[in-house]
This record gives sequence, C-alpha cells and structure tokens, in this order.
Amino acid sequence: MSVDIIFKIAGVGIITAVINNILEKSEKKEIATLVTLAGLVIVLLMVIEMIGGLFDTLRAIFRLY
Amino acid sequence: MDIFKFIAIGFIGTIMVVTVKNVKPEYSLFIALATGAIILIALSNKILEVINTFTQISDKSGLPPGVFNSILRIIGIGYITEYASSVCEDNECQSIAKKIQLSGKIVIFIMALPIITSIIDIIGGLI
Repeated sequence: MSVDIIFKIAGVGIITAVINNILEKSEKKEIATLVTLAGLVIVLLMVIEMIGGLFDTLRAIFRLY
Repeated sequence: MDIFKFIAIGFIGTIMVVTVKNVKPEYSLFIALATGAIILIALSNKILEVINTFTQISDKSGLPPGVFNSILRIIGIGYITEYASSVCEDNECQSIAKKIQLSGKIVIFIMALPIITSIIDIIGGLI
C-alpha cells in the first residue's frame, strides 16, 4: 500500500504553515486564514477518499451490507 | 516477514504526526487517520485468508450459514469501531470515543440476537 499519502499530507501541512508565516509578515492575515482553510479542505478530501476505500474493503471482507 | 512492513508504516505515520504536531496540530489527526487506513487496507488480504478458512470450517460443522455470517459481521463492526474510537482517543476526545464504543456494542448486540435464537433452537433440538 502506498505510504506516500502520509508524506503528502505532512507536506501540505508544512507548506500551509510556511505560507501562513509569510502572509502574516506581509500583513495579509485574512488571506492567511483562507490558505489554512484551503489546505485543510485539500487534505480532508484526500483522507476521506482513503477512509472510503478502507470502509469499502472492510465491507467487502466482512460482508457488512 | 510482513509484520515489519506494518511496523514500518506505523513508525512512519507516528514520526509524521510528531513532526506536524508542532507546526500544524490539525494535520496530525489526518495523518493518524491515513496511517490507520493504510495499515488496515494492507491487512485486508490477510484477514480474507483467515475468513475463508473459517467459512470452510463452519460449512463442515452443523451451524446454519446465517450464524457464521452474523459472527463475521460482528467481528467487522468490532474492527471498525475500535479503529474509530482509538483515533478519537488519540486526539483528546475520550467522550466521543466512548460514544462510538457504546454505539458499536449496541449494534453488535442487535446483530447477536438471531444467533442467540438459533443456538437456542439447536439446543432445544438436542434435548
């Protein structure tokens, strides 16, 4: 199973943190909050797709219809 | 050995959770969820082998097929509930974790009712 999704999520987290710092330094706080929200939404979509896949596999295995 | 693969995935996930925790605490929850999902998906074909052998055993024994299906479902629910409640406990939401465990127990109890009735019928038949 691919482990790179963990690194992707960590990457998005760190990048949003860096961008936040830059934006705060240049006095654009409202854009910083938008960037945090965008990062959260992207990561949320990735994780939800994974959890969906996990639940489908478990449902198929345990015949949990 | 496959166990090393799972341990490695677990360690990678934990390291990532710790690194991201002080930078951006919200993302540690996502990484924990993703690692759990990866490990469970990687485990799924092993679980499948176990279940196939158990289905063969249960076909030979006198149990009606419905009973084994319910047992299988109960085990599945146990897995998913434990996964969800442990992730919630990780992120300091003990109350939510307890609620998930409570709901898992109730759903399992509802699933267990037909098993109990069928076992009682079998016992009744023996006497």
